Amino acid sequence: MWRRELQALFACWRLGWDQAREQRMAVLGQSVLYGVVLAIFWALWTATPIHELQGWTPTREELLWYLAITEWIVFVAGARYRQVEAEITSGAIESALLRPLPHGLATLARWSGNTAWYMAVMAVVGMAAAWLLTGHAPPHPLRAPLVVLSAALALLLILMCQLQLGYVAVWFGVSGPVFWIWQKLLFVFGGLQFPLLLYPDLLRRVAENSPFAAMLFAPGSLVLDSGAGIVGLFAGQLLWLAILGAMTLAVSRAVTARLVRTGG
Amino acid sequence: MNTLRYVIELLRLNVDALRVRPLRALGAVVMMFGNNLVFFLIWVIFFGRFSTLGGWGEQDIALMFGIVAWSFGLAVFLAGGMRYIAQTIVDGGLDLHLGRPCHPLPTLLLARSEASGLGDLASALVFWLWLGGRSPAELPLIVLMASAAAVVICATVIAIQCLVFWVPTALALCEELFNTLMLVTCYPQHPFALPVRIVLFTVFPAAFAAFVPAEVVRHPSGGGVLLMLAAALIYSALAVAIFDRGLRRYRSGNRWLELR
Repeated sequence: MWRRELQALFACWRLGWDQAREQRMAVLGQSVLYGVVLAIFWALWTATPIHELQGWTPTREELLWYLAITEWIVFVAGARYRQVEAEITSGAIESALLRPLPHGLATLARWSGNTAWYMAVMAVVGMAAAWLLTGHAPPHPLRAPLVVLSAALALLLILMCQLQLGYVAVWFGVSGPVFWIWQKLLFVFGGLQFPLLLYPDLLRRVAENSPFAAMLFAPGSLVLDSGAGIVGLFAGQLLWLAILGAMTLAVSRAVTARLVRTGG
Repeated sequence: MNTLRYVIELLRLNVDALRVRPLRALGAVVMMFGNNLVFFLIWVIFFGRFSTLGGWGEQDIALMFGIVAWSFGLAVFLAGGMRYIAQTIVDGGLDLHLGRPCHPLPTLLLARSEASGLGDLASALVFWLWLGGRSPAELPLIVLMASAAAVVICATVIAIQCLVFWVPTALALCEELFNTLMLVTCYPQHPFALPVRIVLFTVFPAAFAAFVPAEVVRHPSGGGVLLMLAAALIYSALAVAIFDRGLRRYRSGNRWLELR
């Protein structure tokens, strides 16, 4: 029984991987945009009086490598909720519910395959761009496998959130407006542009205890000399994985129940 | 004159369409308003740590953010169809617009109206008057510059979307280029290297969508105002020329029957 389901999940994963490989123009556009973002911030960090910082003071290079990781995750995650939103608004989700695999699980498997391919391609782009701009290799190169593992966990968290955001369309008819707010909260509380260590104390504490920190700051902080514990970092990500996993399951069941009762 | 009346009628219909689902429209307005304010938090945090960004302070960034919000908001509210031109071309949907007794561009642009644009417009006032510390007396100049920036944005998006006339598989690339435009306009561009600034002032005119209008408001001058108005005019003419050039390559999608 389990074997069949695993085979079906792998087929979905493979489908996502193949779909990503076919989207060459999208990859080209995203690669350009990713490079542009890093170039913009390199220029901005160059114009910023970093010496004004008190306490923990990162270098410009560290800040750019941190950004390369957080933006890598944001670019790879994209706005996949739109697919679920479109399935709901078009009614196509009804036929998906007839399949033996739960819709949420199949979607997550397909997205994971898609994401894995983008992760590999965008990692090369980001690495090359950041190296070119800073003229330095990434700090702590031995931590690279940890960065990849932490980024994979972060992306799983984001994909689960995006699945739930897509499902919001069942109740509101659209998901976009809710996604905008969620995304900006991710940017601010996740520490997209600069590490949470530079935030004011109160805001930093709030951000560190939010799921958003596990999505961006956790993998990004691995290239910083911040003194943060690696075990604690992964433990935080796994904790949020359990919480968001349970939430995703609950929302998926509620969506299925509603669709079965009232239709798409 | 007839075209103008037609355009006004299309606008009225778009507003009517938004009123069909008032709660959804209101939700989009409120969420976009909140979205812009939350995003600005990053700059509040930044200027809590640093005194300046290449000579710009928090109020200058707020002014620029307001201009970006106003220009994108105005563009998507009045000409919400601009982002769907490429999709329409690829689907063969241009047939429907070519069958109408006027140039297809106005009807393409006014094919829809995004309610979220109103949220952008409302947030612009907060950025200017509250966070940017500008006085109400400066509003006419700010609105004029931001509206000219909206024209530049609309023209740039049209030019980007026309890419599919030559490369039909470039739909996703059009979306990414639009995202790039949005992203670049949200940051001050004066710290950029000279070659980048040259690009931003010419082929990819993001500078005229936020940075230049903000500078004109910061240091008002007749020359600056004329420069912005000229940019709006020139990029509009270029967009129409690119569209017309691309139109020659368009092959019907056999959707004439939908006109009936």
